[in-house]
Amino acid sequence: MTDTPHPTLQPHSAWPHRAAKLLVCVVFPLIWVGGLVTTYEAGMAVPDWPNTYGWNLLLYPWTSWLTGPWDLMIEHGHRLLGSLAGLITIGLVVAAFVCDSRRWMRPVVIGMLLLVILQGCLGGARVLMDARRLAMLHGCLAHAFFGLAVALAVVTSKWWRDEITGDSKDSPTQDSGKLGRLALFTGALAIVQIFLGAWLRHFTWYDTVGTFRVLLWMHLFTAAAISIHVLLLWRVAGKDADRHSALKRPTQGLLLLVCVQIGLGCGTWVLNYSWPAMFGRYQFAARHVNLDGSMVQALITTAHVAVGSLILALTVQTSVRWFRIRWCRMKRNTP
Amino acid sequence: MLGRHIPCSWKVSMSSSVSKRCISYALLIGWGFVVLGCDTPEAQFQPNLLFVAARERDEFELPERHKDNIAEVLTHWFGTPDEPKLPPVDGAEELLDLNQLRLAAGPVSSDKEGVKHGLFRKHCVACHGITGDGVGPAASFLDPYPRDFRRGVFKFKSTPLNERPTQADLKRIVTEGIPGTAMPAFALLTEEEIGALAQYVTYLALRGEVERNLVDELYDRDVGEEEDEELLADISSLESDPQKVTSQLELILPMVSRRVESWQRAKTLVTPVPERPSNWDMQESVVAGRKLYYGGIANCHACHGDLAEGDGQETEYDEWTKEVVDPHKQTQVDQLLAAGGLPPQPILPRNLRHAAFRGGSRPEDLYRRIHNGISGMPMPSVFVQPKGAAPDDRRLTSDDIWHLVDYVKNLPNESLREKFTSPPKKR
Repeated sequence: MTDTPHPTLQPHSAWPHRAAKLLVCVVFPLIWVGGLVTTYEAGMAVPDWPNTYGWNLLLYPWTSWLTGPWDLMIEHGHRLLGSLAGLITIGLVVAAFVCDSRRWMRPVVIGMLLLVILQGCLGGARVLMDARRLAMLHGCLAHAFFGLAVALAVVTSKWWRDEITGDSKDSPTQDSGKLGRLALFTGALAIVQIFLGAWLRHFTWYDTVGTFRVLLWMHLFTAAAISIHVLLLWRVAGKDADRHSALKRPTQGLLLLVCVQIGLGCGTWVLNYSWPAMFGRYQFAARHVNLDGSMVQALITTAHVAVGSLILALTVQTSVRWFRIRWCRMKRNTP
Repeated sequence: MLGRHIPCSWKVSMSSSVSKRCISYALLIGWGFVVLGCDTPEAQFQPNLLFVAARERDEFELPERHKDNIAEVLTHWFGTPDEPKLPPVDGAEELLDLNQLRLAAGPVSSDKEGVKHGLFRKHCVACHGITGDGVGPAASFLDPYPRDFRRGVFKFKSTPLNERPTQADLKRIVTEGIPGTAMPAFALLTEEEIGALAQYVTYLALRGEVERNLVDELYDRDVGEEEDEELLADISSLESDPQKVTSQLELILPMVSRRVESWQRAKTLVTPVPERPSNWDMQESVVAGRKLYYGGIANCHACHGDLAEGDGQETEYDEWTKEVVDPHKQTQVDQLLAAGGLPPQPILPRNLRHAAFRGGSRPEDLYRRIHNGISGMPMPSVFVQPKGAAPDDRRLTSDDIWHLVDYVKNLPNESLREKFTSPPKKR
């Protein structure tokens, strides 16, 4: 560590980072609850918006909420948590304007605020128009917002500031750019996969057999592509002994998450549509009956959605860190 | 690089060009909402195209105006997936409860008290489709395919082979599910919700049967392409000429009555399950059952195989498939696929050693399965000796059926070694 600050840097405030981390911590359970709303098809449990059965969203009696029907409980809970995410985003905007001297941060956080407003409106429009396609978009945008919140948490972190001064513990000695490209491409694949998954989760009576078939095969194909890319990422990040640990750890996490996600994907299929025909010769498959609406079914299915968002978040983290490392190294090498 | 592209002097204050851009983005997003929100089509039942195509293949092409008229007549009698109606025939109200149908029909929602609506779309439509045609979006990945309700034929029930199921049969399948298939158990639903689903399935089956009867009626009338050819019922003229349309409808209404009667009759036709024989659940009974299994009268091994692992026939198809296509003729299969049908799946006999019986594992269920057979499937019913039959009567007795049940239930305990070392003698 150097005692004198880098000439281009101003004193660092931890508030934007705290706000960004809090946002990440709220949006992740929000994705879970949103996933549960879809799993239980509880999206229309509250027919009005932005009110809840005529009450102001925040003033709806908590006893009616917590002791009411399950569908109402998760839908109203989803709305409350969404409101909280909106408030934290406002806090993030204030923190960025007041405490962060980087002017480019301002349009970024304003963009985040607009995105969270759009997300709320999408959720509202989904209810008012009873449109499942909007619910699908609402689901996709939630993951995108989560990814952006993670990116903001990275750019507001102390690590980000330390990197330019070379204060971080282990700067990479060389970088071919392969890792960054891989991380970016994996992130792009994760976004495609989330879109496909959201469509599969929100398909309805007017979707055809052909649409479902294409979507499912694409979902499986993209899953295979993501798995291969994550494996490559992990190999590339681990190959170079001097590789920055800030890149190595997320890729290790990614590999673990992809393994979990494949298991959750298989579990989701089996718990919703039973074992594929090829297992029919085995007794466990021949005797298997799913219990519709069971806690296990709901949790596994929703966990599949949530882990998908974590995979996107880690690819975003890896990509953003890689860009930062590369940019800082270039700056340092510039005479 | 990244840093070079970041606009360091970006100003938050909104200039007029930025405002315009924001407004255009907002309009674009609003337009996207409207497009995506309004793309939800009005729920409509789909015509039974495969049944019509099969008739057209064997006979003549049905004019489009008559096909459209069938849909109009059906909507007039049965309503839509959002607003079901009861056909105006005696017995319809006893068979179907409109309030329960309304719980099951329509889009998915629930109210403050937790009363759920749109149960069919929430729980069933993904596999069975909005019309109950068994071609929901997920159907092509399932084996066996989801049931097509429109023939009014159901496999697992307590009534004889060609009879309709009772409401209790349908409720039981909904509650317990079908092992080894994608049909889950809906045991967590309330009794009222399960009843509503069973009612809605009956409604869809009844509607589907009437649709088929209307197609048959058109072929019986030998309708042609002529524009002045009388329709089944000119529903569009109902307001201008109600007498004419009413008389047209009265002509074809008896077919609805017959279908309603067949559903109402079901509850009186439940196959009684007689007392079990005195040697039930004893080795003697199992041995007798084994003899019958390989015997020429019951002839179970022909399909279920010598090992009872479903290793008998593997080339049979169910009636739902055979009605619309000959699975052995590739041109017909191609036509089926082009018309939106699913590739035919051969029906494999159950592996009895798994002790997984799709229609229920209770001895009573197995008794009825053997006694009544399985509707729409190669599994036949048996002719049971009446009391006081002649000694040389070769038909099975109810005790024989119980012995078969005993043997089948005991099969998972019988080792294959035992099977190989003592091959059965065929009668």
